[in-house]
Amino acid sequence: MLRRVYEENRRIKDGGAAEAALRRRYATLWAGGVVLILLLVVVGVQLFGEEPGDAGTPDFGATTILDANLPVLDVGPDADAGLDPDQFREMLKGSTPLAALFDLQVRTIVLDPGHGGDDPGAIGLKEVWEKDVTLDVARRLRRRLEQRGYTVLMTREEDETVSLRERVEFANRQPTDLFVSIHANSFPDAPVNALETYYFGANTERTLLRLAEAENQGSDYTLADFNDMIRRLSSTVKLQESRRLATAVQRSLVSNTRIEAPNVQDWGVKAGPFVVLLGSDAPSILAEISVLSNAAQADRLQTEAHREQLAAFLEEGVLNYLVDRSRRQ
Amino acid sequence: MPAKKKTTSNGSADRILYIGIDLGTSRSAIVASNGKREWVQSYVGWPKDFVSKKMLGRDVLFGSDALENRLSLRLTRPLEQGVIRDGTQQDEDAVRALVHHLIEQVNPGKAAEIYAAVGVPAEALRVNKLAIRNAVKEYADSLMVVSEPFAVAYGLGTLNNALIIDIGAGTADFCIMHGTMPGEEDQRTITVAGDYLDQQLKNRLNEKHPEARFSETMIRTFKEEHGFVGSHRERVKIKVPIGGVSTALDVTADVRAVCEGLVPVLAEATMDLIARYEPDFQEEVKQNVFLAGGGSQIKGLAEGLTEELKQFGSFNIRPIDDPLYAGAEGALALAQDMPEEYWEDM
Repeated sequence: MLRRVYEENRRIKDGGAAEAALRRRYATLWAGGVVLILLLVVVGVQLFGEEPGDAGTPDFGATTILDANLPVLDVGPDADAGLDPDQFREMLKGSTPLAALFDLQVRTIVLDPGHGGDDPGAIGLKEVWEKDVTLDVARRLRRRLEQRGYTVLMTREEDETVSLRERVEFANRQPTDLFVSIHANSFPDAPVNALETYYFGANTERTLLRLAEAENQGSDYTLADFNDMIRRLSSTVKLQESRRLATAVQRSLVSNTRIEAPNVQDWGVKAGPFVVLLGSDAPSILAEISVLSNAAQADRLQTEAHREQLAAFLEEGVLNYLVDRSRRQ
Repeated sequence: MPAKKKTTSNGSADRILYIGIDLGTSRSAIVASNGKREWVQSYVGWPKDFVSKKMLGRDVLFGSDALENRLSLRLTRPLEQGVIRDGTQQDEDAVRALVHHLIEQVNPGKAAEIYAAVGVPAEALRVNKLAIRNAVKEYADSLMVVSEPFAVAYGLGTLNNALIIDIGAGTADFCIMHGTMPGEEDQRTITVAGDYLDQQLKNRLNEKHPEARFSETMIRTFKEEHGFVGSHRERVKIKVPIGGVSTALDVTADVRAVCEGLVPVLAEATMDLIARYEPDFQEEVKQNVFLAGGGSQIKGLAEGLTEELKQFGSFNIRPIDDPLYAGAEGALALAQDMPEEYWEDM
């Protein structure tokens, strides 16, 4: 037992060292990039043959870079070092909101109603099917978000079979700013009512792997595709924003659901190995908005009023996330 | 941060100070192998401006000291909801400062080498592993971080076929012990815990007594002093200011209703976890359920939970002794049992 405690802590420690090494690599790459930009600036100035800022001269010089709404990074006298690695470590670590730093806006939201067509998803009590619930709630959520001026696209409009790969490719073809996958849980062997929201991340919990396996069925990705997606996941912005969006949505789902179902369990925001979250380039979450195997929830899901409520809870979560973003900016 | 590691160049076994820390949302405790033990409310506050700093005469305040001077401070409870909140450097700094403060309380001495085992809420261990390690490692020569319910189980010696329910402020952590270190599948965390009860009680009282003013500290104190489940012969009366005049209110029904709201949620999570356990040993687990954390002190909770779970069979549910220090004592026991070569490698 003590050995396992030791090994677990060893893993955390080694993970920290690996993360630090990764950040050093990022810092080096970034430093290289900035040095390159500065070289281009110098070349540009020399080509135009005038001091930057002179009347009649296209202002491609240093002023242009400083005017851009980018962080101004201190390039010290040591050209090889380029930037202060601490600044980069600070910027790349989870606490720095990069999307806010670069003033990234949200305009297009893709909704992904889970399952559909040949894939019913979970079949709950009272013959409530996951694919029907997710589609109906997604349609209602689309209407709500469109009324607020967002462009909302859906990975499926009807009861049709759409593979996970097609969903991801659809989202990546669009100028997607946020990707929200809607699902519902089912625990036939346990009298549980719980809510949970995921963003992509490694998690080896056995029950979660089973859930991911169920939700990942029909992904038709090859191992090579998967490895490629993992490589692309290095996007810090996507991870940060996915986690923030998941947190806002989960809070809204739980606090609102508790008004009528006080015993609902908050299983929180989790990192989970879901293919749709991994593949999508935009910040992405997967929300399990209800439990089909819970008798009371199954009853409520049969009413339009409750499905409209669920759409409103999701809307509130997304909007809270966006408000929080605008505050950060 | 002024303090640094206490390493000496010739540290030997007799100069090692083992410490166990329970880093909690509401309270944090430390127990050391030199026999000292202390606890503090998990509040950390920094003076808001130079005026506050001059008035307080300190750079950082902790626990009740911070709480009493909260109007002059940027006050934080760094493990709100059982985790270091996402993206808040202030909370990471607060954990670091709190750990430093705790270690100072047990007088490690200049020459001691510190081996620390730290129990944290299970969710923090999942979410903030590295941040927690980074916050603590500055002040310890070697460090192990474990989940709080596991530390409690280790201290109690209930390492096989037992369920620990650690009801803290931010989270209630469930952990099934099966003779080895519990994995994620053996643990469950819910956020219906002390802070949730406080909020519910505050909402109820505000609704029933809109003319009265209830602070969060007041509410927490009511609950901790009077919280109960089931029948209770004594009325719960509290004094609150109404229009500036201290007035007695009977809040028996409200305190009971709020505390009893915890019971079905705990029962549901308990059964969910037990139902996934090896069928042959489920009955044994039912006879070894321990309530830990501040929430375990709610009067009648163990009995209420036993009654709620009666439909699933017979349960033996007990609150542990000394809940304030149980986590820290367990972490210390773990620290002292850990082989030296493991420590040296950390």
